[in-house]
Amino acid sequence: MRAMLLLLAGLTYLLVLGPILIVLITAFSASEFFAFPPQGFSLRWFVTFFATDSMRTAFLRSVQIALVSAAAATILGTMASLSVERRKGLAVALLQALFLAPLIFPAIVLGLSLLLFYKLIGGMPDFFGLAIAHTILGTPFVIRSVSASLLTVDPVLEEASQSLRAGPWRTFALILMPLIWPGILSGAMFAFIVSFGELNTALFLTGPGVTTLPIEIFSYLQFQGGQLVIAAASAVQVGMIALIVLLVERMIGLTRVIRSR
Amino acid sequence: MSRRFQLTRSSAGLALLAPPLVLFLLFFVAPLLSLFWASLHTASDNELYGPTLTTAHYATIVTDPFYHTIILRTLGTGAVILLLCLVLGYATAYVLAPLPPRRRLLLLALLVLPLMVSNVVRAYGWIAILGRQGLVNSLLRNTGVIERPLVLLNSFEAVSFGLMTILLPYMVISVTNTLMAIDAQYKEAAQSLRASPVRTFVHVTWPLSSPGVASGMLLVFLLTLSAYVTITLLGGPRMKLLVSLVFDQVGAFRWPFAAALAFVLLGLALAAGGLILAILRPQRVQGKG
Amino acid sequence: MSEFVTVTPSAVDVRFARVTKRYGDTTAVKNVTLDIPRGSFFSLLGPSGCGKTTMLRLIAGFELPDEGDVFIRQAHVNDIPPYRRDFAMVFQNFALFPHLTVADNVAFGLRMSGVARAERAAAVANALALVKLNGFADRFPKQLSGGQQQRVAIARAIVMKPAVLLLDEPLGALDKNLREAMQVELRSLQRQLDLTMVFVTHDQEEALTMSDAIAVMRNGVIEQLGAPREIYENPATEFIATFLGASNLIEATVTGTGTGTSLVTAECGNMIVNGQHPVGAKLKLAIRPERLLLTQAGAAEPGMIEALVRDVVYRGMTAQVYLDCGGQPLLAFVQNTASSALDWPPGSRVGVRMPAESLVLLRDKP
Repeated sequence: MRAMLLLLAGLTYLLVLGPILIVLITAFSASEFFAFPPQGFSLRWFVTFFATDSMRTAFLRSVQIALVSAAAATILGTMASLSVERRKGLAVALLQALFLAPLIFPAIVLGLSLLLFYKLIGGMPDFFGLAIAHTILGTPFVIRSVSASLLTVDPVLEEASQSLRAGPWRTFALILMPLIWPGILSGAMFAFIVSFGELNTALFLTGPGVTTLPIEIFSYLQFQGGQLVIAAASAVQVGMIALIVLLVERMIGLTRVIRSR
Repeated sequence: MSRRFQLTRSSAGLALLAPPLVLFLLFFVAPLLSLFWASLHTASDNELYGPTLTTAHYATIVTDPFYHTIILRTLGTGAVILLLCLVLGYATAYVLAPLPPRRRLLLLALLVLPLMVSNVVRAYGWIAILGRQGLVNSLLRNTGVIERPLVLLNSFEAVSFGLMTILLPYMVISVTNTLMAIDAQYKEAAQSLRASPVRTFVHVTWPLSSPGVASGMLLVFLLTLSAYVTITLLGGPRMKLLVSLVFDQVGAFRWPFAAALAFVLLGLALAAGGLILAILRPQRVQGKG
Repeated sequence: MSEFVTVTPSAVDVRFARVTKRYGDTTAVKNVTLDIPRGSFFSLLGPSGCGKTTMLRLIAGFELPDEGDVFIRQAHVNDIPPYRRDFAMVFQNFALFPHLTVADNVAFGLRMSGVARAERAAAVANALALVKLNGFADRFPKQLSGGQQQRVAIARAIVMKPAVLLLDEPLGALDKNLREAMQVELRSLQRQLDLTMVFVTHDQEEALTMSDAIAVMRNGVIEQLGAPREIYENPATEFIATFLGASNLIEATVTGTGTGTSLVTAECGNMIVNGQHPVGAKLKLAIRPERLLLTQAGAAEPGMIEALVRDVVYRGMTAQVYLDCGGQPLLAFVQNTASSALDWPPGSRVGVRMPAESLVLLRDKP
């Protein structure tokens, strides 16, 4: 019985990690066409990637949108967390349901509704349209992370701070903020990653001028499949995310990040 | 702490609430409502939608056999994926839960990281494996097992399988968290009352883990409904599910019908959610998971 | 309306004027009026739920009164937020800021008040020396033991030189030996710095040892207010008689009067009490176990009764003698001297004298 379970678990890891590893390894292939194991090690496909205008632009666009939406989600999410901190009641429960809804809402429906909405209000530049969508998708992650952090702060610290002549704003800046910034940072990280890899709203909200990297990879696969530059593009995607996770881990420690997930 | 003097309870606290609330009301709630409103209008060639109110779109979806097929196929895909995720995911969680914290954390992290990589990359991985020039075919041809490449993609099986591997981590994480929260004493109590390992699992572990299983299943099903990119890449042009139809209609600028399809999708999600909760009844377990 | 005995002050640092505080259906503080004199070590004593912590929080401003007024040094503070009131507080679980060093914790209030850096550093060093934590300035709270954290919390409060220092059961988290040492230190600090300290505790021994005045609270009212000795020797109610130390409770009826005294009859016999009361009046009396004098049985005097020894518990320094007197149980504490309680084994008869000055008349209706 135990052996069976281990087998299934091993299978799980194989199936989940296998495809990604194959893509990553292929990205360094020297050959023209797909072959596994790859014959020869080369960075040619990365060069091709950055040399291809559409790919490079899409990559930069992804980074820009991710930065903007993550920043917005972090600010708004933190504000939302603070305003409902330690409050109770029906209104609070409803608000929390609203703010966390994007987590369980089909992103397709969100993307379509925004596409239509933008048309209804007379148009919206693609960049901002998508950034807004990603902000909404990222905010719940920030709220979850910051709220979890706030729970670990003993309310008596706020009282102590006030007994030492610090008003509400100084208490927030000097006592609360330093204690919750890991939560804020890890929330920001998730918001960035969610945006960077997001497809479902981007499918609706991108156009000829503004594409993101995942969409670009998707188009290539649909219409020009076979070129290994896709592997390189994918590797860049994975690399970017790994970089962010590593950076944040350096700053606040991996354990805290995983737990807040 | 007296209301007036605590930041988060004063009027300043409410001011903090305003910007995120406005954003959500304006760009989440309002668009949804207007989408629903659009789904109740006739189509139009020049405008987004026509002037007349109608439920014709919903009627079509409900009565036309073509849509029945698509919906059934969608539900079937969801069911298969749920089953596979449940078996593999629960087994993995069962192995992970009792491990010492550090190792368990590391192994969980290994499953969380793929979730952060875009689905398109993970789908590409399966194309590289199952495609005509992919790994499997190359292996089989090089070893002489087959002459011509097998068509492994562009099928119901490919979509189910590929999507299942993409969504597995959600189930593992959800069930692991719940299993970790179950006090070991329950198992011991059951065994002290003559329950064999199998019966202990059936009567104690499984029910107590139902919240985690329920939330895992909900998430997996929901994501299955939305996974347009994976479905398209692994299923090809003929394997269409509900979400593919939404895209097709948008491409043809038939907004009201697309909107109706989207809300039917949402309806399926809610119905599945209700069904899962009714079958598993996770609310029996108080305070766990 | 609670009765009170005002301790006549030269100056009053904290005043409650008819203050009431409710939480939903419960009233935590009922129409309390109280003056806390400057420079005193003042304890609020009572069982949990009596309202003492609420009183403290009303001074601090963490709660606002539903009725009545609170004053700190003549200033009416009802509308003033905590961070603008002249007080400092030592919290039950210390509430040290985990992300700041000891020095930064202690300096925090000064920094908020705009004190210059050089002055701050000097004041911090001074405060740390007072609590005997020199050299700990750069440590973080989690590196300190409970006792050390306690001292930092105290230092952080006294460095503010507040009009009143509030202490919310500050010694509860410490073990017994540490607690007793801190009691002495706190008292000495208070005298040294001439601070007004308001101390909340449920430990009656603690209150008795440390305070200049005690307010015993129950169910939101002050049952008795006075110096420790006064309250111990003359408890006003049955609750106080049994909450502070132990008491024998006796119900008696007045059967005769003399000049300034009355003769009363109880289940166990006759006694003489101070004060003239009308014949037939029913009284509730209390007498401390250590005030019962045990003698040879037989000699019949007014104020002497006879009792049967039920049990003797030897406790080293004292012995507890459990007596039965005509159905009334009595407890006596006998000092371990040469002629001790071992003279009266269980089952023997013994004479019990209850001196009139030791019999306290309680306010409660019998």
